Amino acid sequence: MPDEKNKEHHLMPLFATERLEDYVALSLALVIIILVLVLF
Amino acid sequence: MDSDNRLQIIIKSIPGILLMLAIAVFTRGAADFGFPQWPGVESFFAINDFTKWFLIDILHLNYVLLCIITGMLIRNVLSVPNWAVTGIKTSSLFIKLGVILLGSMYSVVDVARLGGTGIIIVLVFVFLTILFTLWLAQKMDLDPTAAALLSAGTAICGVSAIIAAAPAVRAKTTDVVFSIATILSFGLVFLFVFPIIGTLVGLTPHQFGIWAGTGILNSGQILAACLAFDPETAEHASTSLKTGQIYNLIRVIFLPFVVLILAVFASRSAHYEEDDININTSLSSRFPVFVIGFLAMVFLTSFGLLGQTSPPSPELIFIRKLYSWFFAIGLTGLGMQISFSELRKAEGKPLAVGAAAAVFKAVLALIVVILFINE
Repeated sequence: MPDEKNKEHHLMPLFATERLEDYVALSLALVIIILVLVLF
Repeated sequence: MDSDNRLQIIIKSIPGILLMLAIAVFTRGAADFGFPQWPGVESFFAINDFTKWFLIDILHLNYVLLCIITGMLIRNVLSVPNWAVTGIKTSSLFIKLGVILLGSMYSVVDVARLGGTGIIIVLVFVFLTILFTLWLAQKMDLDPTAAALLSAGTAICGVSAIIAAAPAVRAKTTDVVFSIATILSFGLVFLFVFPIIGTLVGLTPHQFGIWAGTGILNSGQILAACLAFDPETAEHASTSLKTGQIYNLIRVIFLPFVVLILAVFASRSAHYEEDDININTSLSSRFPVFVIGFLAMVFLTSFGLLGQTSPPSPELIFIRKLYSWFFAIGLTGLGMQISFSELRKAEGKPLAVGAAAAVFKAVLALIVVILFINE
């Protein structure tokens, strides 16, 4: 059982690579800035 | 990974993100969401003069540390529920997003003002720390690849520097694990000790920012220590955080050069089965590109696209609130990924070398800040 539990803690991460996560962060930030500029 | 799979993972991550948000609301309060009835755990510490003095003024136990501590307690005492595991892995995304938006605090004038002094201080500390760590590791007969990883971790920015340097020095998995555990353990100690020493020594927020940005080993922990020392609100921009992040970012810029130097060192000191060393992948692919977003935000702010900076425009106030929440969520998730058993792995020679290097750098940085930095 502990092994199974441990496996659960190593599920597939949301992003395949660190670089992909960087790009997602950049894209989300861009969306936020556009929304802020439009809304204010 | 096909699009169905990706969608499934995004859906699976939502409960974990909501859990991190709930803990962040628990510690920070719900006033920003229209519920001023819940002021957050921190406000209860100010219930009398003694608790306010000890918990807030001395220990700087604000929402940032509370988020991390709550996360760590949930992970290690209660264990993270399976339905939240995928979402918690997005914590670094929230921290990166927070760092990008943090760029709205700077204008080119600030960076130019820091300019010469900042770059010289960071450069001297990066290379002194590397030389000291490699020298000590040699004296203690530590494996060269482990020494190279530890010097990257102590000289630049902790875990990401270790990960960036690992392929370049062809480190063993165990070296990587031990180096990360050592750096995280010390970063954690510094996270709590720096604000206390900063208060006792009487550093100004600006001086503390330089000390933290130079002496603390990990970007997330610099952020937490600076916010603990000089808390950020929508009306008050944290000077410590502002300075600390600039020093940290200057340090990050040196990462490719450090990786290159360590690769040369390791190729000379260690014995490999193959002859060629390919460091191209680590140099180009490990650079944290989200830093470009931070710089873009600095330019947007500098050219007034987000309104005036002093007093801050409604746009800037909104963005500041937003990144405070991103940091609260991200740091909660960070806490939920720190296991006590992993911290205990930092033992033996790597711990001794890492500890000596970390303390050397922190003490030297404090002396330099006290002697040469005014304000």
